[in-house]
Amino acid sequence: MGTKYLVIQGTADNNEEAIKLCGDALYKAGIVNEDFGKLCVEREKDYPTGLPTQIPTAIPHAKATGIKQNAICLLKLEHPVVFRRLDDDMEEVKTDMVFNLAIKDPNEHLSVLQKMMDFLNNPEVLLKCKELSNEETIAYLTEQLG
Amino acid sequence: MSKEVKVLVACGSGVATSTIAQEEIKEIAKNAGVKIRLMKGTISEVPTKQKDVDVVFTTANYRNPLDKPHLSVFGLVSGINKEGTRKKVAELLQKVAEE
Repeated sequence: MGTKYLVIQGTADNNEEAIKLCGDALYKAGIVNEDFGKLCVEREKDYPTGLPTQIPTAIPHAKATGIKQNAICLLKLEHPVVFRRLDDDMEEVKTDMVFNLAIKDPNEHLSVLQKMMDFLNNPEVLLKCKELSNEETIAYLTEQLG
Repeated sequence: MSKEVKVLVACGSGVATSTIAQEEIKEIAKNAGVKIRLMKGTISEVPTKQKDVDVVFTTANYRNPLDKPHLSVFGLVSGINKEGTRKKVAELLQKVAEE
């Protein structure tokens, strides 16, 4: 089964609210259990996922049971929120693009994960994601990541 | 004949970034001519699992002291200074293999 992409827009005051928006969207799409968002929020506190790439992003995720399908929910925020950095939790990034990963089987998901990291490192494609409508972004992500 | 190096790759949840790093490390080891056996884990498992391995790679920062050689390999995942990180990984693997 391929990777499912969801793209949503929203406003959040902090990363916890942002992650919950993604978790709720994935839950409503029938991909994850109701507690997935909460698990991601908890994990973010111990092991943050902010990426200090040219255009900073964050990739909150958690090990969870009940994931039906590998999925990525992109949240485009009206205003950026702060995430602590994955490589250095004393440092922070501000981002308005949050990629919440629901990973059922990491080995099956590997090529998408690898492609996604290249994708997140590429300012051009991220800017394009910002410009496109939600529907267009889904098509773009599918085309770029598979 | 150098020995097989037992490697632990750890990240926050043991799901995403350690999987990416693991694949990269496999390739680096192959190119460096070092035979490795990989274990994947979470950061919180590092203190116990380090006992069973020769070297520890983490994708997130890890500040506590370790008994085994340790290297942060965030660069393999993020692509930031990837070549520099690849080189360091290869050097460390070769060093441990020759010990």
